[in-house]
Amino acid sequence: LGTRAFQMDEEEDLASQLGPRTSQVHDTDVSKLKRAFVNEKCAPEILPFEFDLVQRVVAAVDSRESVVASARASASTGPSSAADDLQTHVFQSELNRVRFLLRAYYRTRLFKIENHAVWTLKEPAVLARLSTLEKEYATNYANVVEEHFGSVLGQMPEGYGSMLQQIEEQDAAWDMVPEPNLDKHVFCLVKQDRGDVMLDPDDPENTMDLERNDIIMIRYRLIKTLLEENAVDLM
Amino acid sequence: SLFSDEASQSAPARSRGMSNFGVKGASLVTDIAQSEKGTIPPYNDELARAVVDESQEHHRSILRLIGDIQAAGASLDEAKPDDAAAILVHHQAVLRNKRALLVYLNERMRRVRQLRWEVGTGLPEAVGENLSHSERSFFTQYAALVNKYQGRRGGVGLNLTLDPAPPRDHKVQVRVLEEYGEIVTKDGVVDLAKNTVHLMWRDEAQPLIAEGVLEKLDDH
Repeated sequence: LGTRAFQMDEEEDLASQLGPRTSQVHDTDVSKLKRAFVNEKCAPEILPFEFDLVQRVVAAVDSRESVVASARASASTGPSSAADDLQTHVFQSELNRVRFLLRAYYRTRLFKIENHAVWTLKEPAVLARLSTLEKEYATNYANVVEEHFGSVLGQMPEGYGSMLQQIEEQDAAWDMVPEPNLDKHVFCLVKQDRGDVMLDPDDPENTMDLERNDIIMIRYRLIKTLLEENAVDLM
Repeated sequence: SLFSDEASQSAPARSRGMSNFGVKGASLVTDIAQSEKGTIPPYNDELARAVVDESQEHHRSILRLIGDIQAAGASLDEAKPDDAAAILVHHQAVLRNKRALLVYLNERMRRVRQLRWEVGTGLPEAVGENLSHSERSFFTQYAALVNKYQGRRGGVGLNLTLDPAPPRDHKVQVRVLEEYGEIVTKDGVVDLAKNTVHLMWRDEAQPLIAEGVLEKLDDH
């Protein structure tokens, strides 16, 4: 089913002797974005677009940028304290890191769309996970690819020119559409105590005891729902 | 090799001068598979055309076979196993060729896409020469798509080609490799004369580093 990569029992005993387990440090938007990016990077298929989160982060970046810009402007015209300079430096570093996260998040998704453009467009459940701009991108990209392939496929004998079907047949399935491999193995960090969980419907007897902070290695398909429920993070 | 000389010498004259089925297709796939990753070899127009022409020949054989069956007064369902098998083999040969063509085109297209992310919208002449007309057109259209997506109007408003790796410092030391003249930066005007060293903002230096105008100096 999966492999338990890390046993936390001993450490938990120690921690409970030291005092109550500290709850997670307040979950900032940046750490949420980082998790969204890492999940996106590890998952074989595209995940739902974090519209609200991205919007908040972009707004925060813009406002911080203007703070930094005006700080730099006043520093170049008049005296500034070392503390102010350090603060500007730290803000700038943070800005760079957050911008990297945003760029990487957008990029990872774009490449997934490109690799499975037709699949993404034809499966409503997948298409629903894209932002409006991404949907537009997917459509336009698929058209550009079709045009390019068409320059060669158009010369093939009649009936063999489609990039969706090997041989054109009405009412037949599109057999030339690649889809992401959901059976790829991923590492997961369990975020919630879930107790005994039946993960594989083909093997219902085999359950796994999932406790918070467990790390497991398992086929993506089997934890897909848990990821959707935000019960696990990929790593 | 898969197709030994012995086999081709004993091929019956009936093959009408067609090579062993699938050889040209395999050759096309090998062409791109054996090329150095990150490079785009010249578009093998001759071989691609040959694979398409071979497919047309297969198709003509199929039509001829069907015609012969129907001329003999039989329906396709009643065709003899030999004839049915012949039609099927030609059909599968076309599908194989189609697949080989698409592998070739697809892998090259993947590398052309990468150009946009590594080099920008300007296609270097040396690379452009190796692309087919359709591939050059694809590059232009793809580059425009990416531009639109990352643009401020109708896009996400963030240059996505920057920061391929997580940033460490926000200023980098660079040396000018090619004379570039004066540019306006956040710090003011900088004269990029050849072999001068500057301390520049990472996001301003990055595109020029990618283009080869600047060289990043590692700090030790």
